[in-house]
Amino acid sequence: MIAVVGSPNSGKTTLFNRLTGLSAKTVNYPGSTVDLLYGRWGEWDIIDTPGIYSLEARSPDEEVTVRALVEKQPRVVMVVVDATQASRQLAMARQVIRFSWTGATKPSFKVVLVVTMLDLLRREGQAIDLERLTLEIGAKAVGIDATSHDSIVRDLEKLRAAVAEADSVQTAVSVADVVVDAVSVADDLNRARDIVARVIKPLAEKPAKRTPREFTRAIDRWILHPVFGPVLFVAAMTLLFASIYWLAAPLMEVVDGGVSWVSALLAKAFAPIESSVAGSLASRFVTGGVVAGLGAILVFVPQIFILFCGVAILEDTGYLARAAALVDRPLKALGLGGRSFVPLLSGFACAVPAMLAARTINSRRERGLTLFVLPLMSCSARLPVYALLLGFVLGDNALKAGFGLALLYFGSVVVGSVTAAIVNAWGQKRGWLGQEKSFFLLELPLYRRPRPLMVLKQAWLRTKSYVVRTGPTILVLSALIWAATTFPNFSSEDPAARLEGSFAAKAGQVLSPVFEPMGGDWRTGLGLISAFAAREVFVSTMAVIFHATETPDGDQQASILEKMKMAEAPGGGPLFTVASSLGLMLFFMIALQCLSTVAVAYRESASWRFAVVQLASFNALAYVLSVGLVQGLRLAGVP
Amino acid sequence: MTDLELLRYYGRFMVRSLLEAIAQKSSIGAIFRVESIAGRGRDGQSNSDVVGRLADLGLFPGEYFEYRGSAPFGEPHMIEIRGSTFALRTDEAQWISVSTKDRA
Repeated sequence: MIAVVGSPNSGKTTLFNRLTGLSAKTVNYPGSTVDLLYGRWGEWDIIDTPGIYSLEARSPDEEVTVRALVEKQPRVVMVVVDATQASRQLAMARQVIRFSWTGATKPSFKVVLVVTMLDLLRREGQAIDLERLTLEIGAKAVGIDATSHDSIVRDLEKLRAAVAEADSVQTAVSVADVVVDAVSVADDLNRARDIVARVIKPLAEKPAKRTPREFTRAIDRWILHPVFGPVLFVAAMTLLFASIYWLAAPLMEVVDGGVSWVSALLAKAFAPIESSVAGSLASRFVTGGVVAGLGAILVFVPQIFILFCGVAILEDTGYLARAAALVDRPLKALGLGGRSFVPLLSGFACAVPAMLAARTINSRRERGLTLFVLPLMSCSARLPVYALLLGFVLGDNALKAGFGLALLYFGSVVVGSVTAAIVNAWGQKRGWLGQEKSFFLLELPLYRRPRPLMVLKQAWLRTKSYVVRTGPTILVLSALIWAATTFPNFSSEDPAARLEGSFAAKAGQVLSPVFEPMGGDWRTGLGLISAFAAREVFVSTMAVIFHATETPDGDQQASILEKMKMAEAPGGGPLFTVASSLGLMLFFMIALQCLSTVAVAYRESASWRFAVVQLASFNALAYVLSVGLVQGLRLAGVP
Repeated sequence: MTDLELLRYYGRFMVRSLLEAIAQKSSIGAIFRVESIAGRGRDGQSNSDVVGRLADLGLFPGEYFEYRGSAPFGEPHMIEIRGSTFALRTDEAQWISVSTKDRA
């Protein structure tokens, strides 16, 4: 087993990705919420540990790194050091090397020093003497020069040889505890500076172009400018969201088409047994329960993948750290922080990977609060519902609908902010969030060109976590809701008759007094119940319940809208009005109807109470507010 | 030297809190020397977490760093030390005392 250790931004994860290709998978470290990356590199198992600034662990992330060095018993530890920051990062390397010798005559693991960013160092007009460094630090030093593909391949070959040699050395089995005191940290840092003075020398010829550091300073003057900074931030976020919807729309249609194609194919395959009751039931279960559930999961993959590509591009260029610094002060006022920014941004795709992204927040209080308000960010699954209801209220006007959608998104940010501020204020008074001293620290890396492979891999890993974590829940719920909407009246030929006589409809009827104040009846209730499988299922339930016909060109929405306009409320008059549609939109904006999110919230907070309080309070708030809105609008004369 | 010149000359060595020192806009790009990091907070509780973490970054007495400015809303504060730039909140930066003594 090989462990990769290094400071944040040392190029550690990039190296790990290069070594392992796509074989890496994230695994939760036992007894913590921290993830380690596992992979294979040739004949070795290799783990990537969270970035650390020193071996004296000051956050759960760092604790896991230190524990992994003790418990995983690696035979070789690669310490990754950014050549341009060697005067700080070599201090941590010295700590690891000293640690490998604690309390034994043999080292408990061998250290190989990997010096990255040699290309950057050269552009700064400097070069490093790796042989001298090997002697000075007492571990084999290998450099990685990312100038070209050839240089990387050549350097990785050298690294392989160095690791193979280190792996052949006999090591001690037991490792003592890590003891690092504050004095030695300063001492290590001073030594590191001395070493750097001896091994890093200026090149004979000065670099003609602007060095990366000068370039970064020049850009930062604009990015962090008091006026242009926020303007650029808003522009960047607008561009990111606009591109998600433009780019994802055609892909979502492809996925949708693919799902209908599979569904049709399966229906054809079931045709020979369709005549028997069991056969027709099986056919309907596969197409209506299983394939529909798969479709509900897959249709959001393009949007989520594209958003995470955007986030990874911003991350790789170095902008994301600046964005986090920019919004830290406003978020701090709500009890959140700069590190909550990426999770909250991801929440607009899907709360599930967003909650996983919240693991990088090292303050427990800020992390808890971020997890709590995350489901309020308007995720992609709400879009089809918004689109349908906006279409009902505003008619077929793309501009108005776009404006309405922007308003809904703005509303979700406002509700999220207010909730965070309230929970933070109450929580501090009553000690829900715990008292702790946290240390906010952001490193602003040098700007660089994004690397397509790294971006795609990041986006792929996060999208995979969405599919893996939400998939099973949505599938099971989809099957359950299929059963609830099919039985006991399953033998009926007419889908709407089946639905009206189903258990779900009966539940909707029992609960209909609950839905009446918000301008609905048992049919709206049935839609809301089925939305617990996945929010967008509301739309397909409306389609079935109102006998919407599916046109071959797939424009189902027009048909649903037509039928919705004709639907009559139990007491006479139309069921869907402007008031009741606005009430429904407000309900969807706030309500926590996604059981995958509840499951992940439970896992990430490690508390049932947290998940239950979140589920109950958001749904209660959504209900109360939407009833208030509908009744208020009615009093004001809006039908 | 006149009294005023003397005051200006010695004023450069004056030890003051980092927050005070960066309150002037002209301090962007200034090099500061870390003089001390408060070991105890105002409530008298140990500040060892902050001291330790700042030391990990290289912020301990005798070290020099460059102040690169603060974010648009007043914090965090950007400082460059040993080739890396870090953003620190006022909560942590308030414990750092600096002087503007030039690098030896």
